[in-house]
Amino acid sequence: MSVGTTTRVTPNGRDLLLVARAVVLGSPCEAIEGVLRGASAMTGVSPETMRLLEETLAHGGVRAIARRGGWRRQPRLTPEGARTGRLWEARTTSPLAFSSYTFELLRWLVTEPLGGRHVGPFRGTPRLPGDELIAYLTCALVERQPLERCIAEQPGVRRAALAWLAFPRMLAEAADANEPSAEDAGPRFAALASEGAVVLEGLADDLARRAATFEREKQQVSSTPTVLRLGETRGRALGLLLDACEAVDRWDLATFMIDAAIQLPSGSASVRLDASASLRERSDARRASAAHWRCLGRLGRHHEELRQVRHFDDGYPEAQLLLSRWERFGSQGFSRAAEASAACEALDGGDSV
Amino acid sequence: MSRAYRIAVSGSVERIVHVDDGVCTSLELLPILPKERMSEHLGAELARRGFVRDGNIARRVMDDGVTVELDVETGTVTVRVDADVAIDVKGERAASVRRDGGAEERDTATKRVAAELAASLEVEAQRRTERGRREATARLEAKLKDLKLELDGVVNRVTAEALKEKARQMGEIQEIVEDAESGALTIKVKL
Repeated sequence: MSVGTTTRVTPNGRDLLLVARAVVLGSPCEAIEGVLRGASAMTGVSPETMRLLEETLAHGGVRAIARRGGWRRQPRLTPEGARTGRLWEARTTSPLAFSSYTFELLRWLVTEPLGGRHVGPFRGTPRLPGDELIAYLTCALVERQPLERCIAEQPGVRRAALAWLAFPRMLAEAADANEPSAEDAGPRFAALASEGAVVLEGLADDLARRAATFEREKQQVSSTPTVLRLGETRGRALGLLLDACEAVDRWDLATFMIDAAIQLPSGSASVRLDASASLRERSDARRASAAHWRCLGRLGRHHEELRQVRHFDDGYPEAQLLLSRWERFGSQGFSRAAEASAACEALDGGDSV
Repeated sequence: MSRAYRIAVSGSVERIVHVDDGVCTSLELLPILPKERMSEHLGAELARRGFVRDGNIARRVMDDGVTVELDVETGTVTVRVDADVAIDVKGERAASVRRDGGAEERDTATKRVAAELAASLEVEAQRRTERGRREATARLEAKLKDLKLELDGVVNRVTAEALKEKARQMGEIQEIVEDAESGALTIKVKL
């Protein structure tokens, strides 16, 4: 039996590693809330702490995307063509890399007294797929917790495309912070669909679950301005993602939108708005709230194109791969989405309360 | 013991406020014929239903201030309601000041009471404006259901006419059967 060696780190280093582990392992926020709320100065990080941090991010990052959808054995598009398997079987090399953004975000979480009156802003800009993943996991850590708004307000978090894709409610509710919007994260969506594709693929299950939850929760909101804001936020993020997917011909990365729609009953696009608002406001809000279904229409048009690809055409295996992934939704599902979207655009587009 | 003055200020707000509301949607016309021909069929059908053409816009002004506008080229439908609401709010407010307080104290009190009155009158005027807007919205909503049915009818009619023209282009029409109830249209064409 071998006995593991113990590595000594400074108290600051310990906090940094605790936060990094909580973020990548998806621990409850309460476990590190004391560290997050406390203020501390971090003048330097020892080489040992840095080594442990890199190890935590490397192992934890892979584990996070494996658990959230990468484990699924399914047909996948790879640079070598269509392959079936788990994410790490289909892609043998990991493009998961982290820039100084990740370190700065973790350090900010440790050093700033989050939830307090004087919190210095986090202004980093994600540059690599790993950065997007850490921004995403940080949002997941504080979601529905008292520190949620504090994180959602940070310009550096709002520059992460994944944050907009997975946490639209959280970011929309902090919109009055007048900080970067989804448009500002536009270039990040393009990067996410290209070098960050593996992260999107790995998080597919989680993104689908979150998208379905967002749609369900939106139905419970009757405030017209809130529904408008939620819908516009969602529409912008999904639109930017589809633009990015189209640019690199990676429509498979938007499959989570279809998986979310499968989880939703018919009528999920409808919202019951406060009747005291003007019809114009209600109409705008209703139209905005159908963003998910409208974007599915775009996928539906591509679905039709894929069905026209014949067995001797270029790209036939890739087309068949995508058709099989979208088969559960199929033409019927896309028709349902189109009807849901059209119903929200109709003149008498819904009930009011 | 000092006696008090009673200061009473009365005022009113009278204005005509324009309120409006509206919704916008688009007609889902199948591209059976070239866009120009579809627009012509749409324009003709709307004219048949009493819409007045002004360039690309076919307009119908209904009672209750509701206006329907259709852009025959783009298929955009705009329904809006406009109304002028006459606001007439009157009010009075009073306060007491000490008789020995002097003219300056009386002036200050008068200005304060007048300002309070003006604020409360403005609040009431806003409330009535909002009520007028809601009444206009209610009138608009009442029209929408019937209007939607009518526009569905317009789309069906334009589609049917476009299909007939398309059939004529394809060959010799031998039989046209229309079921007004179900909206089904069967065209037999000899190619």
